[in-house]
Amino acid sequence: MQAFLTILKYDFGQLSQSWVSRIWIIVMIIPAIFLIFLANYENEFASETMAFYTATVLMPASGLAIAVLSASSINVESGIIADSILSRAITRTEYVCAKILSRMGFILVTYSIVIIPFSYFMLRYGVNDTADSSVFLGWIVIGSILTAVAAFGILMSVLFANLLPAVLLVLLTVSLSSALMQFLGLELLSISAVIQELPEIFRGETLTSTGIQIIGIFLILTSIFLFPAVFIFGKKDL
Amino acid sequence: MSVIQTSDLTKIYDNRYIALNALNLNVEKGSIFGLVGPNGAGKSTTFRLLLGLQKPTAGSISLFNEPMTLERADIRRRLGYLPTNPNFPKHMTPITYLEFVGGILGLDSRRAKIQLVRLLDSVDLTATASQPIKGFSTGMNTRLGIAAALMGDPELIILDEPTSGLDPAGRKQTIELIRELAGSNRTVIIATHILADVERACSDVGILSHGRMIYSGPMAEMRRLARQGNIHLEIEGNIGSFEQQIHTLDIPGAVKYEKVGSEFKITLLGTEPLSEYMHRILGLIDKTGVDLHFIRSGEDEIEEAFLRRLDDDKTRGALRAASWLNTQDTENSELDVQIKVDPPNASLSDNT
Repeated sequence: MQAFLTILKYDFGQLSQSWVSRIWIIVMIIPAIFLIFLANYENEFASETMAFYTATVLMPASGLAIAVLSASSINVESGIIADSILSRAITRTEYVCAKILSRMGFILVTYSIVIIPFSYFMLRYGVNDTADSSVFLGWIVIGSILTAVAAFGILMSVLFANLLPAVLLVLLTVSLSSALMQFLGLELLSISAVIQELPEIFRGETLTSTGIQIIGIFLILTSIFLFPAVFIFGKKDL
Repeated sequence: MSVIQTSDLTKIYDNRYIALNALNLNVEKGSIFGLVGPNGAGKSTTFRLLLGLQKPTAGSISLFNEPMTLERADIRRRLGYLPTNPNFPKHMTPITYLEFVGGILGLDSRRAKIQLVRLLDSVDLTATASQPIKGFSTGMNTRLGIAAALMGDPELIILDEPTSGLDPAGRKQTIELIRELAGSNRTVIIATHILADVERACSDVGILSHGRMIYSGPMAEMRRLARQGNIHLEIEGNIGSFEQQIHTLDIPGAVKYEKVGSEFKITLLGTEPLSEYMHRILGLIDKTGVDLHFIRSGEDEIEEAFLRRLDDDKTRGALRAASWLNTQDTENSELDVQIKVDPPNASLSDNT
C-alpha cells in the first residue's frame, strides 16, 4: 500500500507541476471569467452560457489536455518505470492503478476547481433559469465524458510506446466516434449530441433518468478502456 | 544454498531475435558472480528476466528458492538493482529520489532518511544531494543508482555495468564497495565487459555468448584455465634452433606460438599442468643454448581466456551448423520449429 501511495503522490506532484496542466487551467479560467461578466451585463441565461462555455472552451481545451495528460501517463516514462520503479517492491497492478487514480483524480479535481466557482458565479450573476440539482447532473454528465476520454488515453498510453500517435489516436477517436454515433442515431453515446442537449439538462427539461443513463454509459466505457489497460500492462515486457 | 537458479531460461523477442538460449545459471549465497560477455550477449536481458521486468519465452527462474514472476514484488523487495545508464526522474534531487525509492520499498520515512544520508555519503554524493539529477554526469548517475540499489538493504544485488562511466578512482571505489557488500553475507551479481573488474571483484564467473552460457565456474578455476598453457618469454642467441624445436613441447598440433622479434608467446593446448610446460620450456632453452631474458605465465590471461572461449564457441557453432545441415540432408523429415530449436540445445553439453 505504501508503494501505491508513493506512486500516487509522485504522479500527482508531476501533474500539478506540468505545463500542460497549467495552460489547461488558464485556458479554462480566462474565458469563464469573461463569460461571467458578460452574463452579468447582458443578462444572459445561465443554462445557455454554461452550455456555450462547455461546447466552445471546456470540451476542446479539456479534450486536448486530457488526451495529452492521459496518453502520457505510462509510455513517456518507460525507462524510469523499469529502472526506478518496477524493478523494486511494487506490483504492476499497484503501479498502473496508482497511475489511473492519479490521472483521473487530477483531471476531475482540476475540472471541479474550474466548474464549481464558474457555476456559482454564473447562477448568481446571470439569469438563473436552472435548478441546482439539474446543474449538478449536467456537470456530472460532462465529468463522466471526460473520465471516459481519460481512460481511453491511458489505454493508448499502454499500447503505444510514443506519445504523439497515442494523443492523435485519442483525439481522432473522440471526434470521429462522436460524429459517427450521432449519425447512427445513438445520441446517448455521442459527445457532441450530449453537449447539444446540455442547456435542457441544466434547465431540468431532460429527464433525470436520461442524464443518469448517459453517466452510466460513459462510466461503462471507462471500465471497458481501463480493464484491458491494467491487463495488458500486467503482461507487458519492460 | 542457491540464491539464483535458472533452468533452460530462454527469451525470444517478437519471434525474431533469440536473446537468451536455454540459460542455466546458478548463483550461490554470499558469492560475487560476474556475468561477462560482449555487447548483445544477453546480460541485460538475463537481469530483466531475473527482476521480473520481462517474461521468459521458456524456462524458469527461481530466486531465494521461489519462482520469480512479473508480479513478485515481495521477492523484488529483497533485491537491489542498478541498470546500465540508469533513468531517473530528472526533476528530482538525490534526496527526493532516494526517499521515493524508500517509499516504493515500504521503508518508513525516518528509516529511509537515515539510510539515504548514509548511502549518499558512501557514494560520495553528499555535496550534490540537493541538486537536480538532470545536471548529473554519467558517473554521478551510476553512483546514485548504486545508492538506490542499496536503499532496501537487499540480500541480492544485481549490478548491470556498475563501473561504466566512472573514472579510475570511482571504479576502484565501486569495486571495493562491491567486495564490502558481499562480505556482509549478501550475494552480488555483476554484468560487465570489463574483465579487470571481474577479476578484481568476483568469486565466480559466467561467460555469455549469443545468449548461451559458454563457461560458468569459480574465478580461481577460470584463472587456472587462463594461465594453463599460455607462456610468454624473451630469448637471445640461437633463436632459429629454439623455434624449430618448439613443436616438441607437447603432442603434435597442440603447440601454437607467435613470434615478435626475440619474444615468443607460446600457447600449449594440451592437458599437462603449467609447471610441467614451464619445465619443458626451460629444458628446451637449456638444450638450444639460448639466453633467457624473461619468462612468465600468462599476460592479460583472463582476457585471453575469455576471447579463446568466445573463439571456441564460434568454431563449435560452425561445426554444429555443418553437422546439423548434414543431418537435415539425410533425415529430411522433421518439423521446422523443432529444427530451429534443436542445434543450440545440443551445443550446451559441448561447451560446459
